Amino acid sequence: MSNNQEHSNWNNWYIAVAVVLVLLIIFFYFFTQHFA
Amino acid sequence: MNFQIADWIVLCVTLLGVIAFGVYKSRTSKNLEGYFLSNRQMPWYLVLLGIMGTQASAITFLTAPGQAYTDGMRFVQYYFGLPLAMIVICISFVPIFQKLKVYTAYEYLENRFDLKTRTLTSFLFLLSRGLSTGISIFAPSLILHSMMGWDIYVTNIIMGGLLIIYTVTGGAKAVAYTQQLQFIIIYAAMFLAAWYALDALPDGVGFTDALHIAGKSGKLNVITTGTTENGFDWNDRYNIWSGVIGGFFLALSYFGTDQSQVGRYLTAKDTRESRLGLLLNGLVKVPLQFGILLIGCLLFSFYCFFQAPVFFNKAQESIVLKSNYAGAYSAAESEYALLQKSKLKTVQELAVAVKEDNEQKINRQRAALQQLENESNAIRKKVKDIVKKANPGSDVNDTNYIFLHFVGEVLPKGLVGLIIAIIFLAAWGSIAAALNSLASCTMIDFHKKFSKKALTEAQEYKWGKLYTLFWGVFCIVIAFFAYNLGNSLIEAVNVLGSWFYGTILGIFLVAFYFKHIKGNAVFYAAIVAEVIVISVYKMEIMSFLWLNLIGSVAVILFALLFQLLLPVKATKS
Repeated sequence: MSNNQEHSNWNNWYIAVAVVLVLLIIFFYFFTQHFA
Repeated sequence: MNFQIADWIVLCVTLLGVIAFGVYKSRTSKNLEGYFLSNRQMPWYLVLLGIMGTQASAITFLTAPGQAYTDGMRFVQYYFGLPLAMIVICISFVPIFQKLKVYTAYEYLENRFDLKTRTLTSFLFLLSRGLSTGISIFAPSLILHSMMGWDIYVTNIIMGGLLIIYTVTGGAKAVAYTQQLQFIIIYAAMFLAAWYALDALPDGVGFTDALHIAGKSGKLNVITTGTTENGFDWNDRYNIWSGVIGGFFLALSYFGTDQSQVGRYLTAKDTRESRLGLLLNGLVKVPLQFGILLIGCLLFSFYCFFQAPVFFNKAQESIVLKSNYAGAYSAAESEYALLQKSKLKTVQELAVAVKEDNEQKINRQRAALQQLENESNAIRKKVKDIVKKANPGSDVNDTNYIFLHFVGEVLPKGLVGLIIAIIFLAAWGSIAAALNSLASCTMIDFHKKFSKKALTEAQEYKWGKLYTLFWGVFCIVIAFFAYNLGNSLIEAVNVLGSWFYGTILGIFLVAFYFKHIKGNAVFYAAIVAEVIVISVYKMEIMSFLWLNLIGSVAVILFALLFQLLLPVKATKS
């Protein structure tokens, strides 16, 4: 795998982790609202 | 707590099984790389479990459900900064540590700055980690001592001593493999506890009903903003801002600069395996913590239907009942029992209203439930004041006893033993990693650095083992001292950690991102930052999570300033 390809693979991982965090926070927000 | 023969069998078999597994897996090359870093051969999943096992101590599993019971689920926000910190560590820290093939994180600081900066940071790590590991032996031992009546010294030795067998024999490899087994047992047992919490609810009350009860009592407050009528409350510990920003700096500091964590991902085969372990930790940590806190909310709902004790620490309660305050305590207890009856009626009506989807009725019951919750809290506060008056040296925080009280009351024979076993296993996971990292820093940053005598591989390996044993004994001695000195030592150790974390992170951030800054500038900046952090702490103007941010930013700003002001010769060292 070339350096560029590897670099972009890891960038995808970092974006995925950040997106999952945002989705979790959104889920938690609605969870809080729903049961409050 | 009623601990029966089946529980003893489960407890002993689990603990002995883990020790045997650790010793069995302890074969490794007899040199420092094998002993401290498993020959850098670990796959990502062992790195992941190692990171998680090191972070989660016994107190994590005892405190979190109790925390949710008393304060709600907002504690989960404390972990929101963690995934972001994992990303930064993967980008900046891991490639450099892996490229330089360092044994300890502090070794890099000599490479980048100078010997004094490396020695100072490594010393701060040894000081704070050595003391805090002693406390992480003592804290769960004290709870078991109070709940089960076990001798505190024997419990301390089992909590901190048995793991020494496999940690000394097998080093990082034994630590990694036992953490894998511990993880499986711990989460299986927690899942079973959650299952029983649900099963113990009255007929007709299901999972969603339990969530509605907890939610309407204000316990499912997963997202909070920390704002009051007077604006943002800097002293509010857990809200989305302190979680994302403060939690980010705390996690960056802990995972990026604390050798007990760095040592886990340095065992990985290569940069890829380290990164995968860290990123997956970022993905799973928040949902797992959410799950553990949810158990606490289920306990809350359970105790809406069944009588909860007004104070969960039974050992403290028996002291009060023998004192002049017994009458006042019993009166508060009766008041609490009366309130419980109203609570039961309210939650039953609430469950019906939720089923009928009757908005008006739900609102009425919600208001009633919150009123009852406020009254309950007021009685609990009064009881804690009584406990404090009866025994001024006592710890009135009973959060850590809530989950175990439920376990003793509801869980079947055998499973109680398993829950007690997971307290030991969780403690062992983090203590073993701490001992391994304390020994590696002592050996690499001090012994090898300052000893004039050249050592053979076999001698180095022997010293590595001896230092692990030394730190194991040291931490148990601290645990004994903690019992004699009481809360003052625990508080002192916690304070010590929050004082140094931000500054150490600041030094590493300067090392990674400010290439023109040299050794002396960062060294003096660290000293100034430390004074600022301690002053802010003493002024009590904000929650401890912000201290990490202040420490890091202060090091960076003063390092930039000193680099400009100090003569060029003085900034180089």
